[in-house]
Amino acid sequence: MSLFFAILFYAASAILVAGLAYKIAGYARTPAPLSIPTTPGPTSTAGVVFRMFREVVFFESLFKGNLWIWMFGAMFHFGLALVLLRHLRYFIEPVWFWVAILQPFGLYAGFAMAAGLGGLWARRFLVERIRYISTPSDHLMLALLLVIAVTGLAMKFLMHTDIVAVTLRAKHAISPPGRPNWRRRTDMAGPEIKAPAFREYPTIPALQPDAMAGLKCYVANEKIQEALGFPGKMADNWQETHDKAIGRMGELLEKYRSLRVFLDACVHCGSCTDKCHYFIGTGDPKNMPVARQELMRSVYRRYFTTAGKLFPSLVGARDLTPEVLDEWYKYYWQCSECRRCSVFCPYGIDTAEITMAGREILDAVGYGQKYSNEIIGKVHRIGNNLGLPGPALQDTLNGLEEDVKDDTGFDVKYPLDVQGAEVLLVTPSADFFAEPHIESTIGYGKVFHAAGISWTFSSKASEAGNFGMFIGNYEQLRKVALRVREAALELGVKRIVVGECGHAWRVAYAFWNTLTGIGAGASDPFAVELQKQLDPRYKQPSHICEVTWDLIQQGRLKFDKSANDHRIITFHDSCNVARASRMGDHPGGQFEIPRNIVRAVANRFHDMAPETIGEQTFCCGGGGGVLTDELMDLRVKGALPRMEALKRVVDDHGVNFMATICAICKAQFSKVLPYYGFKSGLVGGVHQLVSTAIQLGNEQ
Amino acid sequence: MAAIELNGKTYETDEEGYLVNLADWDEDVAAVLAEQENVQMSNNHWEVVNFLREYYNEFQIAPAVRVLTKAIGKKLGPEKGNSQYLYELFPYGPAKQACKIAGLPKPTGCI
Repeated sequence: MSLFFAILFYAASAILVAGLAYKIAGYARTPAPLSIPTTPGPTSTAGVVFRMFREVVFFESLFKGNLWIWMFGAMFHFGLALVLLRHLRYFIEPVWFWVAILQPFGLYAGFAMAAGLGGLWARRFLVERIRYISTPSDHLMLALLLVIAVTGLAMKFLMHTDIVAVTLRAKHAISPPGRPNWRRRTDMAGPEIKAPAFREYPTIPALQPDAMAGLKCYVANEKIQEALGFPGKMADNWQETHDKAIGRMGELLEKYRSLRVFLDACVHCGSCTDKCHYFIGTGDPKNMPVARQELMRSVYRRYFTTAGKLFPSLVGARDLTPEVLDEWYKYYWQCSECRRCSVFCPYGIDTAEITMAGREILDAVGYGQKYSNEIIGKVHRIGNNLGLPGPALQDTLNGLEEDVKDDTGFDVKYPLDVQGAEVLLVTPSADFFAEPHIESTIGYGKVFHAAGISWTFSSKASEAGNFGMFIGNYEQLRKVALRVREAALELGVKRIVVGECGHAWRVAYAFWNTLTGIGAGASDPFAVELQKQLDPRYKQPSHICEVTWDLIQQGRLKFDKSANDHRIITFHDSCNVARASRMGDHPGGQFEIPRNIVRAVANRFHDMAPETIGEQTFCCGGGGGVLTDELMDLRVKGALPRMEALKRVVDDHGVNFMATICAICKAQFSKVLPYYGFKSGLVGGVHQLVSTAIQLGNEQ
Repeated sequence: MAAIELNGKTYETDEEGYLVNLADWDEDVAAVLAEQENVQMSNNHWEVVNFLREYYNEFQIAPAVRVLTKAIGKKLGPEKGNSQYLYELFPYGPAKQACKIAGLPKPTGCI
């Protein structure tokens, strides 16, 4: 009998090790074409190691995310670690000094381990959100671990068992010292341990299943789809669509290591469940990040994992059906890819990557979203999201020159397609078209004018935004990005600067390098030519805020701060800038530099609550391809947490201007602010503030 | 696809009620579109709609909000050359609602 269990033990260990090795080998051979930082991304290798250490040993993200899970998780893991170390005594002879010292602590650790597991398991029953996301395998896993802990404790305290008999090293093993007075306390270790009462957060709503199941954005028509090379519509025959979707999923799993890891790694801990602004606003459980991931993970398990193929209901695996595909469409288009959830995930799982993969698969079966795909088509056809042709741009810019001349008396230029300019400014096309965006455009021109830097817009690269990222399609992402490289080569510019656009800065900062060779990295002839052309003394690309802040530090810009005295300002961190990029030369620069600029040009500034800004900033509610009218219900509800934080600084400090550096944030807030009783004009750009205060006289 | 039937003619529209074919537009269908939007067309409304169409014919795109307000200020007087006045005329936004009545495609992007 003992021999049977010994063999079983070795077999189980072998399966675990071999399975893990197989998974790791799979990850190692899958490429990672785009860098996906989990903010605040460290800048050096040592920084990465230190960050990983904190995550692996102290569960730092989990600590930020949920203190209960962190506490129980830590109790379990540290308890397990001590218990494992304590058990070393069965395998070494003589017993090492420190293992001997650990023995009594290891005893306590057994209880901590059981208590931690009990707490984690209790959460799966007691917390509605965690109950919703738990699969039978989650319960089974906890049950098994708890059985191990409890039987271990029982062998110690209830029916003392001769471990030596079941080891092959009987002669050398030592018998642990007994502590009979502990016997009475074994009842602590059972699953009936009651977790303490949970705190009530006013911002966590009760689940409202299917609250948003009726909301579906418009589907792209054949013309829109085919312009991007996607199938025009879904096949009439479901089997064909099914096979295409699963096939595409398989391809993506071979293409993106991130997707593989993210689909495998989740343990349904629930740390992310209350972090999504759409969940907070709607209460729909499928808007909890883990549940949104599960929509795809369940299908992944069914078709790509052994457990899911053999025991689908045990691990929450399910077949891909037309209903599942519809659910993907609805809920992957209720995600703004803002990545707030990833900040709190102990594994760094990025829901945005899964949303992108979901959208990519939907496009591949002819089930694309009208809003995003129509816009990408306009970029290819005309050059920018809005579809502004060169002459319209020129007309608008001429108008701006007149207006600025009328306002200031200075001939500030807003040049288009100027050969040999030093700087190419690439900005979202909304900056030419919409309010309040255009106020920042005026500001960019004034900055370059005051600093005496020659610059130009480009009609070819008249869009910084890149919706190819929103739909998760590498080819579209690259094609849109290449327009910037072509324009830069044609115009012979020395520097590339990106205007106020959140996701554009993510694409520029993190992806241009790989996609276009702006920065370093790419090695095709055009990229090499571009790298030679660009001035290595400057960061390539630079954010307009970096440019302005550098000039301010050099004393090359002068401001009359009192010109902004009618404004009491706060700053909304845009998600892609905050969590997927950086500014300046140290981590967190993306939070400091825009605020530094605001403080340099205005006297009255108040930040919103710390848990709603910086890396934990809440999405405006309109990012990632959902800024379309038919999703207004979602957009309004998703803005709730930001609006709550804004309300507080409005009430406490009289804030009347929320500055942002993102075209989507500006457009979204202009629309949703009135729903919350604020004026639409409360939102504006950082360079709008710069524009108000800047002194143009010096360089005239 | 949805459509508007008027005087024996069929005007094709998209999901959101925008005319699919620019050339289909005439004042009769504009009146129907305005009615659907609950907009009572006055002379000033027509001024805006006509300017949008002229601008579109020249530039293949609706004008920027700033360009529109400036032009309306010139036509109707400086006190009306602001977006507040345009929102009074077209409560759901001059860019989107006025474009719909003018038979232009909906401007979309980060706006």
